[in-house]
Amino acid sequence: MIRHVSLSPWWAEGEILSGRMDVEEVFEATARMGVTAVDIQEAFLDLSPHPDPRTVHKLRSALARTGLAALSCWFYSDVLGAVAATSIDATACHLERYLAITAQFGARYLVIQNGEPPAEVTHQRARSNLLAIYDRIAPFAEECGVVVGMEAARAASAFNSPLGALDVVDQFDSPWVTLVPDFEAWRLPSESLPNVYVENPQMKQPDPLDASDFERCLVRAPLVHAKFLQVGPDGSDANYPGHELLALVRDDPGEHDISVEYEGWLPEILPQQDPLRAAQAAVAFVRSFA
Amino acid sequence: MPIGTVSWIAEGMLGDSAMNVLSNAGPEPVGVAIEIRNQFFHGSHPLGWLRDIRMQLDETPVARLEISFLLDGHHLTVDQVRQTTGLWWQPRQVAHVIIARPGGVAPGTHAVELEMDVSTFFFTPEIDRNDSYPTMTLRLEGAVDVRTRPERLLR
Repeated sequence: MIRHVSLSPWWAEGEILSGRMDVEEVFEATARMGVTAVDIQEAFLDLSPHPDPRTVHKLRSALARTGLAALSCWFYSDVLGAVAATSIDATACHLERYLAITAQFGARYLVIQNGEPPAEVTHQRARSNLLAIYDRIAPFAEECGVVVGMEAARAASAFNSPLGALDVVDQFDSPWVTLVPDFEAWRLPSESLPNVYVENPQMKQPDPLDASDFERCLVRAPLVHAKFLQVGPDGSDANYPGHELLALVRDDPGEHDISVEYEGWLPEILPQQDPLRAAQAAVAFVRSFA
Repeated sequence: MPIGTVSWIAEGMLGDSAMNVLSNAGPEPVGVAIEIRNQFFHGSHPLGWLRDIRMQLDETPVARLEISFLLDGHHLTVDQVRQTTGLWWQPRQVAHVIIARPGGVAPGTHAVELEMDVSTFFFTPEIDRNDSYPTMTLRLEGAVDVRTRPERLLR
């Protein structure tokens, strides 16, 4: 069952960075689409590392003015890298700050990434570190009323893939630590699209997962990340098995929220396409399954 | 993180005007400052996310010790930038890259090439002090118009 559908402001990142729109204008445009929820991006918060209180106030006022709810807060994370560079305590402190920020916005989910284990860290040690981190922050997550979601967007990765993250989530077995499967892990190969990722240009896009993998993930995925790159006339994206995946969410007896993300504005994809119209079409497509 | 190889909007990052800069040390310019706007996708980060800065001015490489970075009134060498966690560069915020030049440079058009190595360690509040992670290189080039009147940017 699909409960809430939010739109990530990522569709307007190119507009924001180029100075053509500000965050408030993005919220207003989102509300005009008939969308009722957004995802708050780390870059909106003027972190240093704490968010600027004025900025938080302005964001919350803008949300209230436009009638938008914050469904989730997203932070760039590499939990395993942070543990290796600092410590479990230091990493957990940062994540607890993210939980508190998420609670300030009244958002349900904090979305982070596990990252890849550094070369000198064994798989077993990395898994143990992740479990230790989530063991540290889960009580505070519950106190904040915020569900932690591991964004899993790489088809092949020890802990950044849906199945790799699912293993950790299953082991931890808590409603406060969940999985956010990203359609990207199901993206079909295409000669017209980049087959590398910014965080690891050495890794070529692996073979996509299949629908049965997505179904397995749904049990632990109250939030699903629906990504779009090239939106067609009906709002679907031929690069992903969107119809199949969204039908699985719709037909699953559990409740699921969906965060829609349009990324076709990237300079290497379709910078000439109107990102607002593409995002709107993507949202309409997802909502057709609700 | 996005797909692809680009993690910024390059167009508009490098300012098209520059200025000779004065310091409190005296009446003569000590260098030239070029504006750079943060248009990185990973926009909000400690300055130490920048792992190296290289420049060419009028097709001549600038010595590393002659390059510095000015943000929010804080003036740092490249080596200091790499170690900085307490000063953050925010999305759309303008900083200056300064090339030390006693007396400044002649007003008018100059060719600038700027390269910045940015970290692929994406846990935002921490920096990759040991350069354990690969970097991505942002390369910007353009013609900047150095204004006639110098500015007192350095305190």
